[in-house]
Amino acid sequence: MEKSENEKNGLIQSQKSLYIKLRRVNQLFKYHFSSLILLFLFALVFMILWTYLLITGQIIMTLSQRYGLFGIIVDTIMTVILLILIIQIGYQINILSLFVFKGNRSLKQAKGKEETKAALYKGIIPYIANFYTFFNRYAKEKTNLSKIVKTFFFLNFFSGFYGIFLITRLLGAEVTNALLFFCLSMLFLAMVGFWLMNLGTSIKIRNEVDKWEKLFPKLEEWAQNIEQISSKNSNLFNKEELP
Amino acid sequence: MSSSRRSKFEIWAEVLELCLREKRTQTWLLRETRLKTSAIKETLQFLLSRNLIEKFNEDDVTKYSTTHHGEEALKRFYTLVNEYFDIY
Repeated sequence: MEKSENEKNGLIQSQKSLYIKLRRVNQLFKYHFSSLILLFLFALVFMILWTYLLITGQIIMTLSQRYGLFGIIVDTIMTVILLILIIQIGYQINILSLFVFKGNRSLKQAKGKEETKAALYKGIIPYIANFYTFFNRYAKEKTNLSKIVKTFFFLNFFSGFYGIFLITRLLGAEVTNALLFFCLSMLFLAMVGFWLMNLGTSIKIRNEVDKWEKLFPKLEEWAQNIEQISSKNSNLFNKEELP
Repeated sequence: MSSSRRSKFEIWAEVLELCLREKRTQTWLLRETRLKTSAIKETLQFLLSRNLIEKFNEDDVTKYSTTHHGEEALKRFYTLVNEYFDIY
C-alpha cells in the first residue's frame, strides 16, 4: 500500500513537472500568436494608409518622380509583394489558431480544477492530444511540420526586411500630409517591435519542433504496447523498461 | 470534441488518469471524457481485459479503478512526454 502511494507520488511529481512544461510551451505559442496578430493588423492599417496616400497623390515616390509610368509600375509591384507577404501572415494565423485556442482551453480547464483531487492536472492529456492532432494533420498531408515552421520563419524574416526596405524608401518620398506620415512612422516602429518578438518566438519554436515530432511515434508505440498486453502478462510497463 | 477524432492513446490515458485516484462509474466517465456510450464501453472492456483497470460493485453500482499495472502504463506515458517537452 505504501509502495503504491509512493508510486502515485512519483506519478504526481511527473505530472506536475509536465504541467509546468506544457504551460511554458503554451505561453510561447501565445506570445508567438499574439505577435503575429498584432503584426498582421498593424501591417494592414499601414497598407491602407499607404494606398490612400498613393491614390490621393499625397505621397510621391522617388521612382515615380524619376521614371514616370515605369516607376509607378515598379512601386505597384513592390506594394503587391508586400500585400502577399501580409496575406501569408494571415494564413499563418489561421493555421496556428486551430492549435492555440484548443490548447489554451485545455490548460485553463485544468487550472480551474487544479485543487480538486479528482481532476489533478486533467488538461495534460487533452493538451498532448491537441498537439498530436495538429502534428498528424500535416503528416497526413505529407508535409513535414518542421518544414512548415522553417518556411514560416523564413517568410517572416524576409517580410520584415522587405518591409524595412520599403519604409526607408518611404522616408525619401515627398509627403504632403505630415500627420499621416507621422502615423505611418509610428505604425512602422510598432511593426518592427512585433516582428522582432515574432522572430524570437519563431526561433524557439523551430528549435523545439524537431523534438516534438519524435514524441508522437513514441506515443503510438505506447498504445501498441498496451494493445499487446494480455491479461495474464500485464507487466509490459515494468520499472526496468522506464528510461 | 468528437470521439471519432480522438486517438487511442488519448482515450486510454485519459480513462486511466480519471480512474487513478477514485473509483468511477461508467456514467461519470462518459460525462468527463465526452465519448459515445459505445466508445466508453469498448474502452473500459479493453482496459479491463488488459488488467489496467479493475471493476468493483459498490451498492449495486459498478465502479472502475486503475490497477497497479494501469498506473505503471500511465507513468510510462508521462515519462515519455516529459522527455520531449523540455523547454526553458
